[in-house]
Amino acid sequence: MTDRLQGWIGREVQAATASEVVAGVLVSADEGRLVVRTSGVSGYGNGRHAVLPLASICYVRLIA
Amino acid sequence: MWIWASEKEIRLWLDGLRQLIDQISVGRDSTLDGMEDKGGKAASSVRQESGQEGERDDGDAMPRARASRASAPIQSSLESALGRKVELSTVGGSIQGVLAEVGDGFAVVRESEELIVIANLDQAIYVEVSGE
Repeated sequence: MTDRLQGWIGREVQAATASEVVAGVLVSADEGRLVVRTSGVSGYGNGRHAVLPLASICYVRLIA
Repeated sequence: MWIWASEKEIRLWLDGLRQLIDQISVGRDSTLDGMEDKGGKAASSVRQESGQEGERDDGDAMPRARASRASAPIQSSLESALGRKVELSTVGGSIQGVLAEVGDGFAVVRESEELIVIANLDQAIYVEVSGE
């Protein structure tokens, strides 16, 4: 699953867990976790990131 | 320290160890099931923690094997449904579309021309395959 998700790095995704859906740009998928940038790149900061354990992810949808 | 043992003795020792490990893993499963019966999020959080523990410790293959066993029935059902319409229900929502790929613990479903979904089969509740 990680290998498959790594092919989506830089793309817009929706990652669903049991409690909520996190939408944003997929930054990385490794070491048992998924990192999604939930807000746009602004200034020197690189936006807000959500870190999700892969084990808690129900599905990841590729939007664009 | 030196231990002198015959091949038979070493085999007996290894079998004993294997039985011990099996007993421990059966005990852990029944504890988790018991917690789930009582309801609440405690059981699911324990389950998630045990899954993460397996991912952190690459040397211990047992948690990984248990995780793959959990999704194995759904995975094997889906493997024979490639190219067919499926509905996959997970705790985070359901996915409907054409089954494009089945991998180790995951499935790729094409919802439309533009929408592709990778589903974690360890989180799947049920799967429905259309007869077409």
